[in-house]
Amino acid sequence: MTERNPSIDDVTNRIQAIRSEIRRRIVGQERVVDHVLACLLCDGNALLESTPGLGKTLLVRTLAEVTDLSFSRIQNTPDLMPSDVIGTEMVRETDAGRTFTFEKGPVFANLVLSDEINRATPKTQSALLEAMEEGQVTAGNETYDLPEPFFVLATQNPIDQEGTYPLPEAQSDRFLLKVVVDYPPEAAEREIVDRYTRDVDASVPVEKRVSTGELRQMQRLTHQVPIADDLRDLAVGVVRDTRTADDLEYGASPRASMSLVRAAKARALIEGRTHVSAADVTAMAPPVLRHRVVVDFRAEREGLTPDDVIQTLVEDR
Amino acid sequence: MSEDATDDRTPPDNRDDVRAALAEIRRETRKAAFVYASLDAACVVLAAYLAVGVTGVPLLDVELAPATFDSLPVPGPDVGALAAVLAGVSAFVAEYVVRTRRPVAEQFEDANPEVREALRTARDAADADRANPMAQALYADVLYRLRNASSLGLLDATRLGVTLVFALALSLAAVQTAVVGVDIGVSTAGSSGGVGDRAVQAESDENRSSVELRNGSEVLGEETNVSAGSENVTASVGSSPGGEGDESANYDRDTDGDGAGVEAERAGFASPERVEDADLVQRYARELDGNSTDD
Repeated sequence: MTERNPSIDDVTNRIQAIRSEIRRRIVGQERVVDHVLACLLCDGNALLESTPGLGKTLLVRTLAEVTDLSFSRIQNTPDLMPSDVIGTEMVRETDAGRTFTFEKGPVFANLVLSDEINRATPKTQSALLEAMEEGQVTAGNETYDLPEPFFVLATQNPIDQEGTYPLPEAQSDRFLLKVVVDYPPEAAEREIVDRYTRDVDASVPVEKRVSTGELRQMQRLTHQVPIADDLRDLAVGVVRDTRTADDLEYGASPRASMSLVRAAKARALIEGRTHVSAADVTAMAPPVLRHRVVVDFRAEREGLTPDDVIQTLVEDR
Repeated sequence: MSEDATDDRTPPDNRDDVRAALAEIRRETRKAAFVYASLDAACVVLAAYLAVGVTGVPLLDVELAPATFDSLPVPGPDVGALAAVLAGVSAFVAEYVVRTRRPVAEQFEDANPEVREALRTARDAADADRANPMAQALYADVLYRLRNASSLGLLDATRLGVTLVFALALSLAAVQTAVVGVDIGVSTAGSSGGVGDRAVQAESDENRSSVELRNGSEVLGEETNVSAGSENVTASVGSSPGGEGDESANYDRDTDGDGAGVEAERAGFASPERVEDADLVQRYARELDGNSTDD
C-alpha cells in the first residue's frame, strides 16, 4: 500500500463501507449504486430511469439510511402542485392574532426522492428543479435555504409510456447524471427473490456508515481530486464533439463539461485513486451526457440512441 | 473521521519532492536521448564514410591541411571524412532535439506504465502549485511509486543491440573498402576522361544501339578495296610430339614480320637456399640451348 494521507484512506474506506452496505439490499445493480454514490460525492442530483419494479426507491431509501441523511419522498402525479413540493404559507391562529407561517414542503430534506418525476406537470417539475439549482426556495416574499447537503434523486419511467410529461432538455441539464437502471442478470434476480421472500419481514437491516459532516468532507475531497490537463481536455473535447456530431440535433452545454470532470473525480475516489484516469472520463461520459443531447430524426429512425452516439464520440477520441 | 481531525493530520508538503523527482526524470530522459543519438550518429558517420569511399569522387579525396599533418605520424583527414563527421553531428543534433522535445513525463510513462497518469497528473498539479489534501496524497502516491520505477525502460535493449551490430558491420565494411579499394565509378559532373566515364559512355552507347538500329554504311564509312595490310605479323604455335622416348624439350623460334628471329630461351632459377643446384641449372640451360640450335 502506498504511503497516503490517512484522511484519504479514511475516505476511501468509508466509501467502500457505503457501497457494501447498499449492496446488502440492492442486488445486481453495482453500476447503478456506484453512479448514485458518485452523484452524492459530487453534490449533484441524479435522474434514474427504468421501468417500475427495479428497486429505485429502495436504493434511495437505503442510501439515506446509510448516510444518515434526512429523507423525504415526493410521489409525482399530474395534479401535484408546486406548493405541495416546496411548501406554502398557512394562516394560523395565535394569541397575537392570525399570522402567516411557512409550512415546509417535502423538498426540505437532505435526500429527496422525487418518484416518477415525469408524471408531474411541467410547472411542478420546474419548482423542484429550481430548488435543485438554487439550493433555496421562495414562498411569498420569503426565501428559505434548503438543508445541506441537498440531493435530489428523481426517478422516471421511460417517456414512451403513457401519461408522462417528458422533462424539457433545459431542465434535465440540471441533473448531474442520468442513470439507466436495467434488468438484473438472472443469477442476481434469483438472489433478489431468495433474499426478499424467505420471511414475512423481508427487510434487510443496514447500518449508518457516515455522518452528514463526514459526507460534506468527502464531497470537499472529491472536488479536490487532481486531474491532468490532457484528461481535462479529453472531457471538454468529448462534450464539444456533441455539438458538431452529425447524429445529434444539438449537443451538451459547458455545464456538461464541468459535470463530466466532477463525475470523473468522484469515480476516481470511489475506485480508491488519488487522481483521475482516462477510464474515469470515458466511463462517466454516457451517464453525464445521455440526457443532455438530442439525437436527430434521421439517426433516431436508424435506431441510434444517445448512448450509441456518445460511445462513438468517446471511441473516436 | 471528522473535519477537525483532518486538519490535525495535515500531510507534509511534497510539492518540492515531486518537482525534484520530475527534474531527475528529465535528466534520465536526456541521458537516454543522448545514448540513442550517439549510436545513431556513429552509424551515420560510418555509413557516410563508407559511401564516400565507395563512390570514389576525386573531390572528396582532397586532403585537408596537408602541411599540418606532414610532420605527424598520422594521415591527414580528407574532405570525405569531414563530410561524414558533419553528417554524423547533424544526425546527433536532430535526433537529440526530437527525442527531448516530447514531454518527459509521457516518455517515462511509456517505460513505467505503473505510474501512468499519476505522474502526469502530479506534474500538472505541481505546476499549478496545488497543495490541497488530495494533491498531497497524489504527490505521496507518486513518490512512492517512483521508488519502484526505473529509467532503464527508457532504453530499448533490442534496438540498441541492432544499432551496435549495424555500426560494427558498417565499420568492417569501411575498413574493407579502404583496403581493397572498391570503386563503383561514380564521379562528379565536372570530371571527364576517367575510366569510369568511358565505361559509362560505352555502356550508354551499347544500350542505345540495342534500342535503335543505325545505318551500317554510316557507321562503317565508304567501302574501299584493300590489297594488303601495312603490317604483316605471323604467329605460330608449335607443339612437339610426346612419347617415343625423346625427352628433350623443343621450343619454336618466333619470327616477326621483318623475318628477324627471336631465339627460344628457357629461364633458369636457382633457389638461394640450394646454391649447389646452380651448376645443374646452368647445365640444363646449355643443353636446352644446344637442342634449339639443332633445329
